[in-house]
Amino acid sequence: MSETNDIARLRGVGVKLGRSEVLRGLELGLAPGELCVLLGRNGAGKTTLMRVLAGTLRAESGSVRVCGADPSRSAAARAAIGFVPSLPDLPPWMSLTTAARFARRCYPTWDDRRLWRAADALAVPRRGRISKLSRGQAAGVQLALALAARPRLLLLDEPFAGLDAVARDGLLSAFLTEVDLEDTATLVSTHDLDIAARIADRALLMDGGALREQAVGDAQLEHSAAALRALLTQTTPGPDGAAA
Amino acid sequence: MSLLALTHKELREQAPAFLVAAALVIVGCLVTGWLADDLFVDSATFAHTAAVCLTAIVAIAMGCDIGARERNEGTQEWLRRQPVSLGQVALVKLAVLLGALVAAAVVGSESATVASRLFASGASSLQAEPMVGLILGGTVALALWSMACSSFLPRGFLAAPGGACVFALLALPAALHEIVMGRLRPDPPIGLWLTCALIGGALAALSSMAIGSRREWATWKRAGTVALAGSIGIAPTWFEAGANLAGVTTLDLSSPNLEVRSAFLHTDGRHAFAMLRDEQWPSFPVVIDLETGETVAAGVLGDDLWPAHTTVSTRSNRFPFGVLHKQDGDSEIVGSDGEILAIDRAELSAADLEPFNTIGDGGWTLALPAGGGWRLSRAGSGARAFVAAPGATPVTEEVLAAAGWRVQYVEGWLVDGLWIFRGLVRPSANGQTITEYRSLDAEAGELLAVDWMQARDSIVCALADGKALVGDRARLSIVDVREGGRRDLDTSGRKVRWWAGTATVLQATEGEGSLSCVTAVTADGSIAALVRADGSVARWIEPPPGSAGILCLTALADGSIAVLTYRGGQVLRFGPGGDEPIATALHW
Repeated sequence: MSETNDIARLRGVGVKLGRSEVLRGLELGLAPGELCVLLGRNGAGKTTLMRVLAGTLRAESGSVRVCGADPSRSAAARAAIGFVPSLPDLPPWMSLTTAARFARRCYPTWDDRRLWRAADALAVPRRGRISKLSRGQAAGVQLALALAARPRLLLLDEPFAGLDAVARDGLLSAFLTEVDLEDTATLVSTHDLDIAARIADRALLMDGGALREQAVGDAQLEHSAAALRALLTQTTPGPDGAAA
Repeated sequence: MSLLALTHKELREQAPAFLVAAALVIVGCLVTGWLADDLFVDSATFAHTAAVCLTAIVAIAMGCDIGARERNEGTQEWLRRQPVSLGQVALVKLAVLLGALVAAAVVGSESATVASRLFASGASSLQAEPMVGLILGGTVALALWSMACSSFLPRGFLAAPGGACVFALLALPAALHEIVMGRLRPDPPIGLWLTCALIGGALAALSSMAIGSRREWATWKRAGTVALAGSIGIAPTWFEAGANLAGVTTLDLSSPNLEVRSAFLHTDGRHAFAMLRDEQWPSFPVVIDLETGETVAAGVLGDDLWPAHTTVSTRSNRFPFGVLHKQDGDSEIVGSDGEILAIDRAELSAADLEPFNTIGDGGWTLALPAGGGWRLSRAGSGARAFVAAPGATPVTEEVLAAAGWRVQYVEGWLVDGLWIFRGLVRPSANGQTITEYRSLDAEAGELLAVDWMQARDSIVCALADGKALVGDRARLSIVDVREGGRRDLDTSGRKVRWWAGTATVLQATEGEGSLSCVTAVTADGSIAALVRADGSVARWIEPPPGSAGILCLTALADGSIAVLTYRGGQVLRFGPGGDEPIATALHW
């Protein structure tokens, strides 16, 4: 796939948090319709990579482009991004309805029908406050909001962590049903190798702030999963001991 | 659209603090209105205090929270991901905070107004409190400061103890009153309260800085706690200071200590401009209807915080106005209804003003517009022309010097078109300073000798037909200013210590035509004499003992004489037969 068509493109991205070099020389492109799974042990830099792509963390070196603009500086680029964090971070007083009222005024591509469809599929209450919802319901609210914005780049940062099997499958099903598989580039970080194997077009293995392997196709994904298992059994910490 | 979304979010998040504070202040206003005396409840001080109080509480409750909220709630990342700039977020937060402060001032003021309407007995009073604007401005600055500080506090709930420190700062104005004015000193219980607020606020701030707090409270709990603590810490001291301030800045016409410091009759013959006070200071300029006793404030008193030096002086022969001189040196022209009149002073001429008074920059001289009239300037003030008449040669310092006058001081009276001057002069360079009198022939522009004025004489009143009442401390005479004849008034055996005040010309009183009235101070106090045109006294008017004299009097349409007394603020009416006076209390 041509680089010029990439929705997101990272070139030589380096990030330091304090003295720790969390990302270094990262090269990554995400094409439309591509569903990419990011694998790696804790502290590998997955969440940092997600934050750089989402524009909430500025790269110290290299360049970050989403839809042709730096998302940390461009509101238009951020409007093209949907993000589901590992922990809900909406204002706790918001419900799905009030959060949608806020987002509707901010995202030009907002789609109410998709919101309510996703909400129904995820079985999340429309008026319950975030602070009163279960972990799975809160994740569902954030996924529904992310999908309703019709993002060009969808980032899911360990969305299945802490969910039971039913909630996890419901989230996965809603996500796969509503996401624009042809237009949207999706990056999902997870520790769940089974899910990675089920949904990924491409798997990226991160270690020590850099991409160690890429796997495309079932055989390579199997190989990548094996590499991750091997990585997880290692006792040595990451290069900087940084936690992402 | 994104600004709307952000505004809605901020309003939703800050509403609890505002509502809790507003509810407490509204209840506080109702309780205060019920318990406090009318002098405070029915004064503007009550509304101002409530406005400042609620604004201060909202400033703290919202200022401490609105900037730090995103970090406290863990929503910074979410906000940064939104397609809005952080600059927009900050702008909206600032706008919401400022809007809330304005709303707080309005809600506080209106709450007190409603409480006043519900509980006050209907008394009215004067006010002079521009300091409120200063305090409100300071409160806005405090809110911004709190907002900035709260953004740097490391833990969420630190906003509350941090706010407690600011509560103490907000309580400081009550203590500052002690410095500004001793009578505003807090009462002992309130002083203790204030001390506790200061110590508690400082301890809370120190502990929060040293220890911190990781306790996570819901939004409404945090905001409500800050608002509640703010109300408890601020409201008592502020309301008490407000009540004390009201005692000073309001004028109670029913006060037994009420005094009329000075007064003179309006050209309409019915109203008097007067300076009233019921405490040591300040004095309030008012207009009094001498027929009904109804009193209105003269001018906009709110322009001066301490109108101690505000005076009403100068009346017009042609226009119904008095001049309200203010502390800052400015002056306003006010009518008999107390309202400021838009009269172009450049259009005034000498004939429009009663001489022997001042208009313009203050001081002791008559200073009139230069364009069409007379100008009498103070010697040494830098003005070169001392007396100028249209079409005549100005009487300059050189003219005066040629007449042998080396002027130290000069004042003048205008009687029937003739200027009469009293100058403190030195006839020669080495001579002693003496008092001399001259009159000015406007057409000739010459100073003529006046031999009928004697040392210490002043012109008390200009009468018709070129006559004037001339008096020194114990003697009052009627003179013809052109011919120079002089005849003393018969004091009917009364021992007059001195003649005082500006005399009043009464029209058509008791069927005797024009009478002039002058006040005299005798051993028994101030009395008034009604003087006929021939210089004889038609009638003496003596106010009852305890009133300490007459300041102003007039003839009413029914032939009675209305007198404004010095002490007690009463209008006395004497019938044509000189019967016992009927007293009318001054009222708003």
